[in-house]
Amino acid sequence: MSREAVSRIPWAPLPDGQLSWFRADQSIFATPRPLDYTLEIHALVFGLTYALESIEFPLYALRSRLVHGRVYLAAVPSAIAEGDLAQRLKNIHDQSVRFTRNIQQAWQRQIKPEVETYNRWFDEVASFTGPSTGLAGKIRKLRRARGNQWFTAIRGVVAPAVLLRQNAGELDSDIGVLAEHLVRSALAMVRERGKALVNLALAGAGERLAQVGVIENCADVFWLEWGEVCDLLQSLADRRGIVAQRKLESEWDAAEGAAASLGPRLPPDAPRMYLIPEILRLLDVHS
Amino acid sequence: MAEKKRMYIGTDSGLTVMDNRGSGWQHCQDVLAGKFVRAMTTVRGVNTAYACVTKDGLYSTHNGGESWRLSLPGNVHSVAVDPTDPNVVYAGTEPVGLFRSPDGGNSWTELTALKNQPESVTDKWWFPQYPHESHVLSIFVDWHDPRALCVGLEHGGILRSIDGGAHWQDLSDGIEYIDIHTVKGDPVYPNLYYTATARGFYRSDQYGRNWLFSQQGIKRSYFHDLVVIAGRPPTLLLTTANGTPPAWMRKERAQSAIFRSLDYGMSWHQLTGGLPESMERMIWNLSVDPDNPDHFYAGTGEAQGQRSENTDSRGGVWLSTNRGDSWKPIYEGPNTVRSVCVGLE
Repeated sequence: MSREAVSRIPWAPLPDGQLSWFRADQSIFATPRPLDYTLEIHALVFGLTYALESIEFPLYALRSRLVHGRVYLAAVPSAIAEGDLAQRLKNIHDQSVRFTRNIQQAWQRQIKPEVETYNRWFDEVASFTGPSTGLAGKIRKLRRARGNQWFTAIRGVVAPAVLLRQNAGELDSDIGVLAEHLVRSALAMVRERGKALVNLALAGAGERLAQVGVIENCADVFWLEWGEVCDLLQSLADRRGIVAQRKLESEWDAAEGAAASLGPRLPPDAPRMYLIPEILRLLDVHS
Repeated sequence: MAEKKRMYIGTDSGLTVMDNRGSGWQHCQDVLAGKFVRAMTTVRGVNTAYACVTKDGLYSTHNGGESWRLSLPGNVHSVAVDPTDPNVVYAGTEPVGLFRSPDGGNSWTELTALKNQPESVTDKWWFPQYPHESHVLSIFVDWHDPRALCVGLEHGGILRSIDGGAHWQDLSDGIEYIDIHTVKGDPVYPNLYYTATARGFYRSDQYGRNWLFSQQGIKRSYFHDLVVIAGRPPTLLLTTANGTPPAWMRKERAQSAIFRSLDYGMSWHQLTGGLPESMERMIWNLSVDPDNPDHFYAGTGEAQGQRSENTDSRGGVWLSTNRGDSWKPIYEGPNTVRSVCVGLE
């Protein structure tokens, strides 16, 4: 799809039904419960989308959906990018130049402190002892904060590491090695530590809900959706039935097969998929 | 006797006031030292100017720049004066907020309806730099009816009110990348709106609804400032570059250029009279001389955090006296020029 210099109808993103969906097999997407999906996966996709589009990757957005308990992703095409793909790829290449200047300094001065700020705040939410309405407000802010944390790490080190690999022939190889080392540090702070703190905060909410009997035990909070948890901390309505139902449905889903892709086939060189498999692979790297 | 003019040059590190009594521009004084002056406007005939300083506030002068006072504390990114009443001033902030003063900046009231939008709208308000809050970067007060206000949010979209800010409607449909830098209305046709976004120029002939991409003749991918000068047709000037600021660390830097449209934004031609075909610095800002609509000023400079090598100069001002046909540099300085405007005494 290319774009005319003058459009005749207002642009709109493609609806889900016209997108090509691929199964996300990386461990960070594995079998999410409703709270994992509506908070953690949502935040990750938010961070990925904004990170990639801010470095001018040729896509409009990434979207996720859950089919039989498995996460599928789709890249939404960008009419602007595909209207002048050569210029867009040149811009991405030029952006990668900045990462070669001093990626270590950017990490130390900007990215790492920001990532740590979020972790400190997640820790505060986890140890919050005030009223449940206060906790509800904090958990409502948790998803955007977690999305920003993913954004910072992906834009600052994960995507640059992939871009530096792409330009490997033009660069000092030490920069590429350093970038991949920083990716591991960032993932340890965001994927491991950040998620652990967020889950601790959510488990704290679960404990409060279990104490008043609206769920059976604190881990059951993960069978509710993010918005439901925020509301429930205020309404304290009985949710044991819906938790039991979702657990049962999850068992049924586990027995279902999961196709590798859904929707229309996409050519492997589709601009909207530019370097996305490489970035997802890097997000799954373990030390 | 020629009117005395004052030029206010807002930079990423202070504000320079220049004076012109008919024999050319002379340096007058430097004020607001070290402050990031992101936007400015002047009010004709009353020696008044407003300067937006990010993470600080809106400053005003009522004596031609000799003294300034903090009029509205806050993280102010934009300012506009009601074209029908010079006492009415609007200031746009981060986080998204819009304030109105009925008395030239002495008192302010927040138009709170703007920030109280449904989650489906506020979910789109976001910014790449920490703390990731969007802000009001552009304010347009309708030439025909000052109750009609339109704001552009940098990474957030376009909202419009037709009742002086009591109610707002998100009008971002049709714009693919809602990083709005400037939004303006047409001086003659009230239904016609224009917007320069980070990744496209759009026009709407439905009062800001259903935006259409309109870049015939433009060979750039980044858009920043836009001025619309009354006429039939109006003259539109648009500042552009290639790629977003992080890409400008390349050897060719911003590759900026000014384009002009004389057919309501339907087609564009690059202005090259006196200007390089591709400028290394970004052209951040355009303004029109209040005394002569054929005279335009363009403020140039680096992106934040970037600096050219082998030079102490980082910003400048260019002048055109013939609606953009030809340009000449009239000011060079050590700081990036983010805004320039001229006032008459």
